[in-house]
Amino acid sequence: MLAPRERDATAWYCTAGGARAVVVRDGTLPLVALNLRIAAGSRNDVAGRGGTAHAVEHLMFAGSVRRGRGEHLRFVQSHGGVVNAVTSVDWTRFSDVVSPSLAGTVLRRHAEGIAAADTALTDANLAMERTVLVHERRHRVTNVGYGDALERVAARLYPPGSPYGRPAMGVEEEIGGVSVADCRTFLARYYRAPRANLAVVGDVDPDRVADDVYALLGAFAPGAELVPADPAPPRSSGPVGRHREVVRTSLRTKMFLGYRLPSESGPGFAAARLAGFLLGRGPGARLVDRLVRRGIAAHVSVRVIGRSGDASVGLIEIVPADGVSVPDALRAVDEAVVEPPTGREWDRARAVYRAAWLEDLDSIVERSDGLSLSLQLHGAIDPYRYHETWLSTVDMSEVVGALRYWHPDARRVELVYRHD
Amino acid sequence: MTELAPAPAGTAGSRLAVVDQDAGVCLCTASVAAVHRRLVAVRVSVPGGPLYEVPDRAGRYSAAVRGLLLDDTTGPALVESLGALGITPTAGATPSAVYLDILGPREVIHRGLRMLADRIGVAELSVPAGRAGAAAALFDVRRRANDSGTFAVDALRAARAAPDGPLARVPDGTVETLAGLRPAHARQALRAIAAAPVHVIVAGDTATGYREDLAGWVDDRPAVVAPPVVPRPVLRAAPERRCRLAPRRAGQAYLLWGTLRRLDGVADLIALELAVHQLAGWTGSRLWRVFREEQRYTYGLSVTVEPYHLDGELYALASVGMAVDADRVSDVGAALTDETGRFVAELRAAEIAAAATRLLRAEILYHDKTSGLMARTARLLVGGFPADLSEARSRVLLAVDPDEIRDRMVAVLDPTLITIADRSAP
Repeated sequence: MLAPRERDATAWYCTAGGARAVVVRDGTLPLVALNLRIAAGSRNDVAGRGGTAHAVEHLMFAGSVRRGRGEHLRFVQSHGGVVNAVTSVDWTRFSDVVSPSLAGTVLRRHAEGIAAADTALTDANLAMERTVLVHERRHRVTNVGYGDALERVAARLYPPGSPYGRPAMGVEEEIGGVSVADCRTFLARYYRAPRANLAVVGDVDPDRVADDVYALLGAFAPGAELVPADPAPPRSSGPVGRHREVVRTSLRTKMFLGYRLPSESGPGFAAARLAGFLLGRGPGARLVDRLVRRGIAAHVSVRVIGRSGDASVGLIEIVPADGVSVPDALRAVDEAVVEPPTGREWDRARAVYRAAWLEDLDSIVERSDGLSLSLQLHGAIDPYRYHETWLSTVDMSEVVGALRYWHPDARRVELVYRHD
Repeated sequence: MTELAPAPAGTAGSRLAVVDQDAGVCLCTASVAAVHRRLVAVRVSVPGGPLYEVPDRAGRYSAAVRGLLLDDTTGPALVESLGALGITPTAGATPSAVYLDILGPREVIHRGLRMLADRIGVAELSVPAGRAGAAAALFDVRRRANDSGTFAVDALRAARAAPDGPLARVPDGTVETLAGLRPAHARQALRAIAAAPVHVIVAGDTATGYREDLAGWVDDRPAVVAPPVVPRPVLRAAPERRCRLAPRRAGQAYLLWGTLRRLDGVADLIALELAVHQLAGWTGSRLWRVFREEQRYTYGLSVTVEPYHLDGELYALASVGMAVDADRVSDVGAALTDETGRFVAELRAAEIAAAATRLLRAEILYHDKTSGLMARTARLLVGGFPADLSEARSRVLLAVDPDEIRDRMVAVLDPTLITIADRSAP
C-alpha cells in the first residue's frame, strides 16, 4: 500500500492492485459523500444479454451471506443518510451521503459487501430483481414521454454492433434472459481493483478513515489491466450524412438531433460542452434566442452526454411552435449553428458555464461525483480541480472549432416524434 | 458497536433578518458558511398570485412573471442581462404565491437582484411579453400533464379542494385558461405584483445589502396594502375518495394515494410528515416493504408533503405515488387501503421516535446545494413555520412526544379524507 501523498485537505490513496481513492476534507457541513465508481457499465454487457451490468448493480443490495436484502439501504437511511446507485454505459456508481460519524462504518460495510458480492448472485435474488428491473425500465423509459429518445438516437449514432448503441439498462426481452452465470462472469471480470475509483468528500479527517479506505480498496481483487480488458467497440466515424427516424406519438411533436462529440476522456470534450452551452443552455443562448424568441419553437435545449470509450453525444431538443413544420424548425437550427460566436455570446456562455461549474463545486455530493469520474477518466483529480483555470484561459477559437461538431454538415441523427 | 450520535441540526441557520413593514418587505436569509460556497440563491416571492385569480383567468400571475423575464421592448431582456452575469433566472407559481428565482456567483448576485427589482418597479409589461409569458406558462403546463406523478398530484388537489377555492387550480393555469389569456391580463397581474408585499429569501453568502438592492422597486412606492383576502371555502365538504384521470399509456398505470386537509398548526404538519415518511418514505417503510420487496408491484414510491398557508390557516397535501402494471391496478388500489389501515393500527411509539430521528438527521441534506436550501427555506416560510424556520422544525422533531404525536398521526390519516387517484387505461 502506498502512503497518502497529501495530508492536508486532500489525501490520495492507491493500492498495489490499482484501486484509487481520494479523500477531500471539507468542513462546511456535517456531511460526508462517498462515491465509488466502477469503470464498467452496459458497454461491457455481452451482446444479447443487455441489462447484466444493471442487474449486478441491483444485486449488490439484494442480500448476501453478510447481510440481508436491502439492509444497507435501511442502515444508511435509518441514520438520515441517502444511498443511490446508477448504471451507465461506461461506469457503475454507488454513492452514500452520511453523517461524519458514519463515514468509516459505511466504507467498511462496502468493503464487506464487495468481498461477499458473489454470494448475492443467486437465482432467488435475480428472480426478484428481474421484476424490479422491468418496472424500472417502464418507469424511466417506456412510459415516459419521449423516454426512449436517447436510446433511439444512440442506436443510430454509433455503428451497428457498438455497445454504445445499446440501452444502458437493457430491454425487457433481454433482461429476462440474464442469468446468474452472466452476472457472476461480469462481477468477476469487472469489479476488480484497476476499475475501482473512490472519492470521499466532506467533514472527514483523511487520517482517521485511511484504514477504512484501504479496506474498501483492498476488497477488490487485483485484475488485468483496464486495457485491453474492455471489449473493443467497432470504431468508425459513425453514420454518414443524416439519418432520420420518425416515431408516431400522441404527445406534441418533438425533435431530437444527435451529434457525435469528442470522447469525454480526451481533448476537445470540454470545448464541445462549452459550445453546447453557447448554443442552448439558458434563456439567452443562441438557439433559444433564434428559435423560441422568434416563435419558431416552443422550447429548445442542448445536452452533452459524456462517453469515455467512444464519441460523446450532443443532443438538441426542439419542440416546434404550433403551426411550424419540422423542416422549417430544422432549417432554423441549421442557420443558427453555423455562425461564429459574437463577443456577447462568448461572454454569456462562459459566465453560465462557470456558474454551473460553481454550483457543482458548492455541493459536497456533486464534488464527490466529479472527483470519482475524474479518477476514472484521467487517473487523477487535477483535471477536475483545475477545470476553472481552463475555463478562464480557454480561447474562443477552441469553441469555434468545437462548433463544427454541431454543424449541419456534420453527421447527425434526426429523431422526430410526430404528433399523430 | 460504536455509538452513532445523530447529526446536529446543522451549522446553517435561517433567520428573518429584516422586516420592513412600511415598504412591505420581509427578508429571510438562510446562512451557509461562506467557505467554498460561491453561489447565492435568491427567491423573490410575492404572496397571493393564484389566490386572487378568477377561474377563467388562472395563470395570469405566472404569465406575468415569465413575461417579465422576456420583455425586450425597452432594452435587453432580463434573461439576457442576467445571463451575461452567469445568473440563471426562473419564474413560477405556487398555490399561494408567484416567485422569481435567481442563482448566481456571489460577486454578481447583488447586481442581478437590483436588475430584477428595478425592472419589477417599472410595473409595466409589453403586449408581446405578456403573450410570451403566457406561452411559456402554457408549455410548462402541457409538460406537467405528461408526467404522471405531477399530473396526479394536481388532480388530487383538484379532487379535494373546493371547486372555486384557491387550491383547486394548478398555479400556472390550465391549457384552456392560458390559451384564453389576453396580454392585458398579464399586465394587470404585473402591476399587482409590483404593488404587493414581497418576501425575499436568500441562501448562501448572506452578507448585507439585499434590502438595498430592492430600492428601485419598493422605495417610494405607495403604501403597500395587502390584497384583500377573498373568503371562500378551501376544501370540499365531501371529498372524492377515488378519481380517475385521463389515461396516458396502457402499459403502465399510476396510482396516487393522498390527502389534502387543514392542519391544526405546526405539530400537525410534523405529524403528517412523520406519518407519510413512516408509511412510504424510506426503504424500511411499510409500503416499500410490501409493494416493492414482497409483492413487487412497483420499482419505487415517491412521497410529497406540501404545506400551504392560506387565510391564516395551515393546509397540507401529502401523497404517495407509484407506477404499476396496468393489470394490477385493482390489486394495488385495494392493497393501499388495507396497508394504510394496518399501518395506523400497528403504529408504535418506538417507530415514531426512530422516524423523527431519521427526519431530523436528514434535514442537513437540504443544505448541500444552495438552490435546494433556498427552495426548502421558502417552502417552510410559506408553510407557516416560525421565524427560525429549520431550527424550529428540528426542535419539534427532537422534542417529539411519540404518544402525543401518534394520536395526531392517526388523525391526519383519517381514511375518510384519503383519495386515490388512478391513471390507467379504462
